[in-house]
Amino acid sequence: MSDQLKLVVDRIKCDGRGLCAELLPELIRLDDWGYHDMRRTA
Amino acid sequence: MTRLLDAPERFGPLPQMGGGFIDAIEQSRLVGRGGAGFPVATKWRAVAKRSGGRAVVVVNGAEGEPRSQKDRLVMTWRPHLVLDGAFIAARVLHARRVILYIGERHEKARSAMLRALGERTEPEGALVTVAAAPARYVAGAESAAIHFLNDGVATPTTAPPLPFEQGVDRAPTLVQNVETLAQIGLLARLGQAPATTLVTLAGAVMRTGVLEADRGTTVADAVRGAGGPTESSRAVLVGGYFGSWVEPEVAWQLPLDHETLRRHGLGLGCGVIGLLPAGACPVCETAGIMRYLAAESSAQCGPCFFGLRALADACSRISDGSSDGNDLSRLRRWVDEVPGRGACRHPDGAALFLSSALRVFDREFANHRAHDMRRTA
Repeated sequence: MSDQLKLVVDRIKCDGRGLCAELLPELIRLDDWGYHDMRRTA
Repeated sequence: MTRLLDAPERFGPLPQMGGGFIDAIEQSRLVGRGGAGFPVATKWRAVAKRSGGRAVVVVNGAEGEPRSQKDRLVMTWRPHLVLDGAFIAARVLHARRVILYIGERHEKARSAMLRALGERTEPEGALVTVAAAPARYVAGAESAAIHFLNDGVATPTTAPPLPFEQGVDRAPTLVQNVETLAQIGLLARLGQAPATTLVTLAGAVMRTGVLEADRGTTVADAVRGAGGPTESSRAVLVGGYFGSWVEPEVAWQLPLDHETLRRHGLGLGCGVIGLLPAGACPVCETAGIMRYLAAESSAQCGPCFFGLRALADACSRISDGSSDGNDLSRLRRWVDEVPGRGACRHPDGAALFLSSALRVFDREFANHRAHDMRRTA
């Protein structure tokens, strides 16, 4: 557990630019409005 | 068993009570009546542990749910019971401030609360200030209330910190609904677990308005108590705009208590029970409520602001006959993409409501034909 990383997103601050999904496409998917959908991450 | 609305308007001086009172709350299994149904004792313990004499008690009378009237009613008719609950909270939690947060349009409730406050002689009276909650749907959400009291902006904020960690003045804060506090007042006075729930009956019922339901009362009992339905019902909205549409034959048997409804996958929410008459169009009704909920998004989180708007637009296109034929499948896909995606539960509630509509009004959504329809929620 100790060497696992945790990704936290401030949903209010997020403007939906989609940079996170460009940097981490294997982890982050975007919804139809361009916002990260963390629930779909593996 | 004394009921809330039959209780004396004012009891004598407050009984003495300390930390042990939280155990009494726990035994009563009281849950919050603002909508979330969170166990009251858990909330009080979290604040008590961190208070150190700094805690803040927010008396939540914002009541932003359009169909709900019970919070206004309890403030107007039993203001002393609400103050009892607030003062007890202040004592047990060693609070430094008590804030009456009352909806800006609830004038009668506010003046009744202020009159009652003027009649109180307890030292807690000196801790009280009053604030007017903006008339928006989300203004009653805990973090929005705290945001407003700190910065004058009634929008939800990102958690953590939670209210008990850092709320008003950055101090541990208890935000508690006025009906819940009145129940606390009764519990302290009578030493008995509160066994009633206030519900608001709306829609196609003979007498709309507030009813105090004893434990075990079903939706059918409540509707009968309100003079019965005005005509046959197509569906019953259980729990207000954050609740679910339920087929009438299922709804009638449901008991009006939080625990049992939760086991059915439903929620009593703020206690609104709405009857949709067989003559009304469920699609248009649903579209109207979705437009309202989309407009009431605080527009902070994308999936809520854009998602609810997209859902409301698709509902409206089906409702007014301008759909390209794909809107129903869009709705079915999007409705699962929205919940859990905001800083607050606004998108979750709206999606829950719409999912129930798509399930219960499956036929109507699939075969809807445009008709002149300008009713709004």
